[in-house]
Amino acid sequence: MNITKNPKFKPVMYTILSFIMGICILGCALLATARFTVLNPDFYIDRLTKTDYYADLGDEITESLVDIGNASGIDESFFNNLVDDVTLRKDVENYITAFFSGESLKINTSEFQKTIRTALDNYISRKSIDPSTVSESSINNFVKEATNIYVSNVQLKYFSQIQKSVLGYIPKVNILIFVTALIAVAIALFIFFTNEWKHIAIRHIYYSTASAGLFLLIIPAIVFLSGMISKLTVLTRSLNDMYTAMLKAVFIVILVIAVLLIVISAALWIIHSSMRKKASS
Amino acid sequence: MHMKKKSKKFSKSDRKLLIVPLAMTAAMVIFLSALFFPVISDLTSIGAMFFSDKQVDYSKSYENIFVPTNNDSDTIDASKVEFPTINKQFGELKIEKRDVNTKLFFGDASVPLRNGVGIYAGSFIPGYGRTILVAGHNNTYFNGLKNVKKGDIVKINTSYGNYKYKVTDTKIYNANSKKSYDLSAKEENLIMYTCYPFDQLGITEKRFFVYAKKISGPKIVGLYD
Repeated sequence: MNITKNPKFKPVMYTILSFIMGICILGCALLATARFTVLNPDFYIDRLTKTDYYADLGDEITESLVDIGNASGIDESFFNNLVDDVTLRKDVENYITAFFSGESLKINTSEFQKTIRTALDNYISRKSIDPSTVSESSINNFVKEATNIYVSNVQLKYFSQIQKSVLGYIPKVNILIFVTALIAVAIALFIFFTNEWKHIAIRHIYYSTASAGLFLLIIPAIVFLSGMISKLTVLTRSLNDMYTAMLKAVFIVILVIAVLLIVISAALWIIHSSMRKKASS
Repeated sequence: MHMKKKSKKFSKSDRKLLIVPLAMTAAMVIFLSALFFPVISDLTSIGAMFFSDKQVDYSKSYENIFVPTNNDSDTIDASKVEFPTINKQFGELKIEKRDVNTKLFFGDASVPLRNGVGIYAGSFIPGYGRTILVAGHNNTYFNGLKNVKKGDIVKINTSYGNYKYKVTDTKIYNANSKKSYDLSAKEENLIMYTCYPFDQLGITEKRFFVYAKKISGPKIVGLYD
């Protein structure tokens, strides 16, 4: 007996196709989330603007500078307003943009060094410091150390190590988004046009969207209900702000896609029910 | 007359519409977990490094475990000693003749040096019978070292005992000189150091070292029992 003519074969085949379509929808949704969030520079820049990242980062840099100031005979007051918020923001945004465009991650510190040297000259004359206590090499060491502190804080930790890998992944993610979407659409069209009863076809498409939506719903549900994000422990307060904000945003995007899929599924359910009623009448 | 059957709230078809997606979701979880298990396992291990139930304290405050004692004995059992951890104040250091009177911390990073002087964590604490390497800033708590002379007495008071050291020498070395201290020395000795020259603006390349030998204080026993 021809297996394809077996009345039980078609439902099994369509169920398997639904499952594969569901996996493709899921994959496409997760890859698209990644592409438009963690693999997108605008996402970082936008998130950083919405948190206290720059304020905390400025404070952290100032604190570290005060520590080397203590080792250098320089008052804490010298460092008040030394770290300019506007320059800091520009340097961080340039760093992120350079990361995603494959450019060098070297930070231009000429403005920062100029600021600190000018401030030092003013400090020395204001405090009437004895010139014999001012050694060019000691001042240079101080400026170099201060610059290193500034650079190491502006650079996002581990980014330089992963730049090559991340840039390699982006084109692959783009292709995979396209491929998974194409497969999902192809399967949907196959199910629809090869099914004599269109309401059954709609039902199978509904299975795919509903299961993908439910799967996507589980992920943020587990994350938010377990309080996982609040347990993030990163080296500094500013980085903690940044990663917490980004993680929350990523999982909210997943949640929104899940809700969208469930709404689409609900619509398909309604369409299926009304088509079934017409078919049975 | 044929009575119409009351329609059930959920027909068999409607139940399928609920159950099949749930079953498919479960199947997806199992299938994808099995397929990506090595990746998930690695990511979970990496992720565990960044998540903790313990809240991170980003403040620069420190804990003080120092309680003055009158312990005059020659030894003290290790079980009675509260060994300090990084950034804790556990004593005080004084060189009365030279205007040095400061808090003593374990660790020599920003918190200890901002608030006093700190023992390098790779060296030892008083009573251990080994080298105690103490750092401090030259323009704050260790400014008095510039006047230190041979024979000066350094007092370190801790919660488990009070120690005295006699200054034997002072030397100036480059900051990264390996000759300036010996952490493998087998008898208790105190080395205090700070930036040199004193009162110079900027980060200097030299360090001023003060060397002292122990003259009294309880030895910690029972360390390796």
